[in-house]
Amino acid sequence: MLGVFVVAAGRSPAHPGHALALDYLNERITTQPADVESYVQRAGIWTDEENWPAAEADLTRATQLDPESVDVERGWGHYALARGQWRQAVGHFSTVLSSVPDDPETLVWRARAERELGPASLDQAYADYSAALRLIPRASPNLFHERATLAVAPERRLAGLADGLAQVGPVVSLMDQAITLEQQLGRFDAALAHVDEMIATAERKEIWLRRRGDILVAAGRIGAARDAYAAALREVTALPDWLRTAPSISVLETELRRSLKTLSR
Amino acid sequence: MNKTLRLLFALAPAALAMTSSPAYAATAILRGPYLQSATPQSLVVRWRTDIAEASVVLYGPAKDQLTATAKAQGVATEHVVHLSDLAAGTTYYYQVGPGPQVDDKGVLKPMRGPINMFTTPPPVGPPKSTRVWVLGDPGTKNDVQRAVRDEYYQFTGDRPTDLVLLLGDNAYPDGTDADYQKAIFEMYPRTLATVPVWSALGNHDGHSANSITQSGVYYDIFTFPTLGQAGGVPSGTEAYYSFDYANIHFVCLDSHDTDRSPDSAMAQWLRADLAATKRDWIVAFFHHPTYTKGSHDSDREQALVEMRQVFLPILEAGGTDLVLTGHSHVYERSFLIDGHYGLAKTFDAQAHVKQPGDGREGGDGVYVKSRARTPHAGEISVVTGSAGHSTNKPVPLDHPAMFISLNEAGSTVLDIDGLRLNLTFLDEKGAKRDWFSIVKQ
Repeated sequence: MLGVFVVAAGRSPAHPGHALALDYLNERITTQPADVESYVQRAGIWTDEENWPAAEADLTRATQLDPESVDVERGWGHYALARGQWRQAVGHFSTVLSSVPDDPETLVWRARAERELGPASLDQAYADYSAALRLIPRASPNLFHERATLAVAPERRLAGLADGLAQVGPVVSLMDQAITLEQQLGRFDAALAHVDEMIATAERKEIWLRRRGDILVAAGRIGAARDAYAAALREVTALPDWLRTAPSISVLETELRRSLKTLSR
Repeated sequence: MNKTLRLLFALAPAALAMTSSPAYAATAILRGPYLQSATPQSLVVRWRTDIAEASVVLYGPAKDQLTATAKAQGVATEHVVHLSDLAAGTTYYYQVGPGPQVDDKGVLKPMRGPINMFTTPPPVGPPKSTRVWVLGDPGTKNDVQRAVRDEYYQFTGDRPTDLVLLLGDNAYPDGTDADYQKAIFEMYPRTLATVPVWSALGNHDGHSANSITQSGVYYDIFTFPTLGQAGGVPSGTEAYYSFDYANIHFVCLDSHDTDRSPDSAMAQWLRADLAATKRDWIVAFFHHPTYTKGSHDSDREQALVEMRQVFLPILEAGGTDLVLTGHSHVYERSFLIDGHYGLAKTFDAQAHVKQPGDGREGGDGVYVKSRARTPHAGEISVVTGSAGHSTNKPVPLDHPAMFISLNEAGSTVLDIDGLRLNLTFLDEKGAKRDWFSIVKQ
């Protein structure tokens, strides 16, 4: 107990935003020295602060007070994750999940640790993300995005992306990955279907029309590619001058004209 | 019999077919109504009652012409009703409740509660004189918050507020439902019933909310567009989103609880969203400031560092004009700047200030930008996190990017009219403590 305060008092918080919370937790621990939750919360702050000795001391004390607590175990998991101790983190989160198997956040944390363990753990990471996503009614696109960046089989990634797009809508980070993967697999029509979905709803269509042209070129459909580039160019030239003169649009216009010239030969 | 009652009797057959509630007399509105996700054609009206009942909004062009009805399915205590097919830039009057009711004796009872009004956003694209009230870290529930509010009301007078931006930490200490009830719903009822409110997630809101699962109090209370319904590129989440109002594109980021890495979904979305907008002005808002030496330090806190190093370059490359943040309980306002992503000590006025001076007419002159969407043409960073309290500790307030830094409670008023943007910081005593303009040519 004393050790915790010595460590805590020896370093003021690096993040000013933590000062108030620490004041509150220090006071609560003084008045309720057996309050496990306070130690876990304070360990979380020390973990954010990368004050490892203080975090470890608080978690150790919390473990002494309640060796069976899943909150303490989860705290150890976060601590290990923050320190880059991936295998230990997986172990702690697995212990939590053995008690609370339907805890989506812990599943996500374990997936993140597994992702860092390398190729042998990617399938398990994918499975954990998927299990978490099944438990979350309104999952963030970030989770689908994270899952899709795992280097598992492309078909599996595409299935996950399709699932994500169905749930959260045509989000650009998911759509971009799906288009790229479909194109890599030579499934040009599937890639084009995604692009067309974006074209249909985009206020500015020139970028997606250009991408449509690029995919059609890769598919060897030169006439259709020319049409797509021409449509993109029409969009660009229809922009008001103050937008058309933006450097990125000027470059796009030049490239579209060059592509059209090349394809018309 | 007043006109509204006459109208209700005229609607009686439909009402009788719709509902008959023995709980009529006992039901009370505990929260709201409040307005969300406004577009030129649609709006979400929300409110809370103590007893589950039908969710009905009567609305129309005048107080005595509430001839249109919108309702949600089923009964609820949390009422969320979507109004659609509205006319842009049009004032509507509305009343919420369970719909006209018949009591146990068969007598038709009118809807309870006052008749409020709202004005739909104008058509997207053309300019329209727009007033935005910006509240950073307001939620203390104390006299300072009330004073800041009242001074704004005094300042704006009869000039309607078009929208409200909350920059996060809306309800201290933990963003619980009870915190929100006191700090937001009981603090700004008049505004909430008439003006659409948009919000960014703050760290204190994050005590009771989770962006990964889009759950918790913050996500339960607010309705934001996830599919680009209000303009902009679909984000797929209420944690970050964008919307258009007249010739302004607003971008809200989640600086607290969403992955802030360069390849994150939020970063990819932001790049695409900025590249896709055709609006004259781009205003970004989020909780954690990119530059501050107030009650927080942008050199030392991870969220602030990452917003500066990862997201500010995207915003500046995308042509953002104004970055509004809170978190630090002070007011700090930069010069017209660009390209500073390092520690405060590396700020180099020669390299990073696009235009020095106060930005004031009659002073050093307004800031001038080209209307052309040019990357890195300069933005103004405004930290306005003192709508509920200033800080009682000595703070450095010496970030070199800032033209002015004040340890004062207050709120920020943003006026955009055509190609001119005016911003004013109004303190808790009603004094204009800072102001500047950007003009596009």
